[in-house]
Amino acid sequence: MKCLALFGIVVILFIFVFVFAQAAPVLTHSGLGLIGETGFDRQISEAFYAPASAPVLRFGMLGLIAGTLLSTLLALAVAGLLGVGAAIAIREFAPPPLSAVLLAVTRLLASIPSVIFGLIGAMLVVPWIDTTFITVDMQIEYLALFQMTGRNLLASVLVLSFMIVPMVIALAADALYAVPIERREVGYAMGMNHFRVIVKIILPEASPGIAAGLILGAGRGIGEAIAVSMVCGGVGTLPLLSHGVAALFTPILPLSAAIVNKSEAMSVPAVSSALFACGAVLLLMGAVLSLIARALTRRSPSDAL
Amino acid sequence: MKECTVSMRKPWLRLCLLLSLALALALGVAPALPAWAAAITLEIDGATVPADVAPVTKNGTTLVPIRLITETLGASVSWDQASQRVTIETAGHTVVFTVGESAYLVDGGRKTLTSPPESVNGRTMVPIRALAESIGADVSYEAGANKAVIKYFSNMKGAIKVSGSTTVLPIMQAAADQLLAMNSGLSIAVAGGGSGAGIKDTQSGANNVGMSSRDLTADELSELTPVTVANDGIAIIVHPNNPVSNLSREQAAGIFRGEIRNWRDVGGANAPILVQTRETGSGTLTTLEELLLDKEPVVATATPFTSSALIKQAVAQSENAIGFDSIGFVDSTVKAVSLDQIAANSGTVKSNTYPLSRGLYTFTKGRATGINGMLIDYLRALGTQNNIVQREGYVTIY
Repeated sequence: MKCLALFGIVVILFIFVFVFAQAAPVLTHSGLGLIGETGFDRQISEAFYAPASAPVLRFGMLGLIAGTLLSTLLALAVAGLLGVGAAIAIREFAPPPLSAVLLAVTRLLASIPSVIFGLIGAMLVVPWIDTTFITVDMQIEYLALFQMTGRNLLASVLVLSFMIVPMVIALAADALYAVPIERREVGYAMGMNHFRVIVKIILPEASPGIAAGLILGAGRGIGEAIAVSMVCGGVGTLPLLSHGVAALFTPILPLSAAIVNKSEAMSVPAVSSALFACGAVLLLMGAVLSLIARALTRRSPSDAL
Repeated sequence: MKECTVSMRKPWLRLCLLLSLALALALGVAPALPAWAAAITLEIDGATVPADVAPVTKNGTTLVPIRLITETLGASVSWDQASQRVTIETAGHTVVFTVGESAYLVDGGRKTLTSPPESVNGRTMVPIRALAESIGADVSYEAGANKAVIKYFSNMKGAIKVSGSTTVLPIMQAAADQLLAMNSGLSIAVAGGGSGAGIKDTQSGANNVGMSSRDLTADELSELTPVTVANDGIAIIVHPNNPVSNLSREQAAGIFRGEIRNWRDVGGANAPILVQTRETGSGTLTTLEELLLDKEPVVATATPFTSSALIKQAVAQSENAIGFDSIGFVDSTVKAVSLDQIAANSGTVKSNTYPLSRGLYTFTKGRATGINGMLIDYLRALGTQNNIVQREGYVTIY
């Protein structure tokens, strides 16, 4: 067992070393500009055509990082509200046979391959956004800055939400179930009604478990490539709050989708290194998330999760 | 002789024919017919070649219709009516026959035939053994099956290194895969790198065959011998409902550079022009940037797609979209606009009148020799043109 654990650690270390070694040319040339500047799409194109004697190694991923964080955080907000609500409905209000069925369906949903979500997004969500929210006048107004179509931040958020919700429901439902019956009885003994027991006792008790579910969802959101690449628009534009609601309709290119979409140009070493740099940033984000998750679970050692 | 081939498939016809032949013999007209032999089948690289004019044997020499073998072997044929000369050119060799004359030329050297080429039913028939051996093919005759067996593309041994244009690469790769499956002692290494790299490699001897998607310069032509293996044309596509059906070259360039952003400015409705493009690395995108945009990039706001099929689908679904695709991939779901009033189709691409068209070439240092020439001939063979070139979205050379 110790050997296996050690092997696992070595493999993980190797992944880190390999990704950062591959990304090194771009990381060293770009420095902090990598996370502070935009223009990734154009730089990939320049790097692809650059002569081998003068490779383009300076990349700015601000647009990509913003796209990743915005789409994931907004999706987390949507999925958190819907997921926790659904978990409460299943655990607290649905009759036991129904809740068993609902939980089984939820777990099934959580195991659907992401490309299916991407397909649904491209065929239903994208046209829906296009016809419902976007007018020709809006398109003309913003065309110099970006193309306003159904493929945008909002579509990415919705597709990611669909993907994360089942996971949040399943983990939140488990966390609610794990709350000891005595706590609940205390609430009732003090004269609380069902709703107040849920809000004042059960949710606080279950919160670390719910948070763990959300963080797992965030991990899936940040790392999701295929589904998002099908609906995100494929251009690493930085969504600007100054555009108001229109910012939601900005096409984005999250880091993971960039790796998928730009891989056609990977035969050029500089492009390859840039995509590994995307991977390195993603790895760091993932590592930070798992540290946060660990901190959250430490805080309440009583929790089973 | 035409009835002869038909008779093979229909027994009753064969019977009729035999009867009429017997009758003809009885009447003493037989000497007027060409020296008779049962129809000879022609097998090239393991496949029987169907002939509209069947091969004939005369004085022990088998004559075959010229078009038949040249199409199968990827050679080009030119015919000079005045001198009755037919010139057959493969990547490696030039063979000149004259109808009715037994002297012929192989790469300028004079040789003699036992039986001269002749015209049958308006088809020029040439001696198969002399032709095949002149271009380096292996010929044998199976007397039992009455079959002439030619091995050309299945008779390749050695190693070939190929590099250059990524536009030609998919054709070359597919052709190489097929050749490797047909030959056990052959290795073909295909690499990309772009036309410029391919030309440099061929000049320095780092490859045997180079690939280019641009015409060679006069300087390069002094050293290298190019052969056209396909034609490439890029159609500008819009939604079928779009009223715009012609753009000037300048308008098209302005749209893809992002300077023209409203369909109203090019004769359409007041609507945004949504430019669709391909991801960096696409050969089609590179070609568009070279032929239309003077190597400048497509506007940064354009939505990129990872395949020909996806960009076509995107244009087919959005009324205000404009995109581009290889002419071979365009179908009725989108509308190809004409450029400077020249329609985008395989005809205008082959004649090089359509502005966004170009030839795709392979080349060798000096004239191609041995298996290098065979590889280039294989790319030009009718089967390769129909099954690979067309399927990859390019326009055939025929």
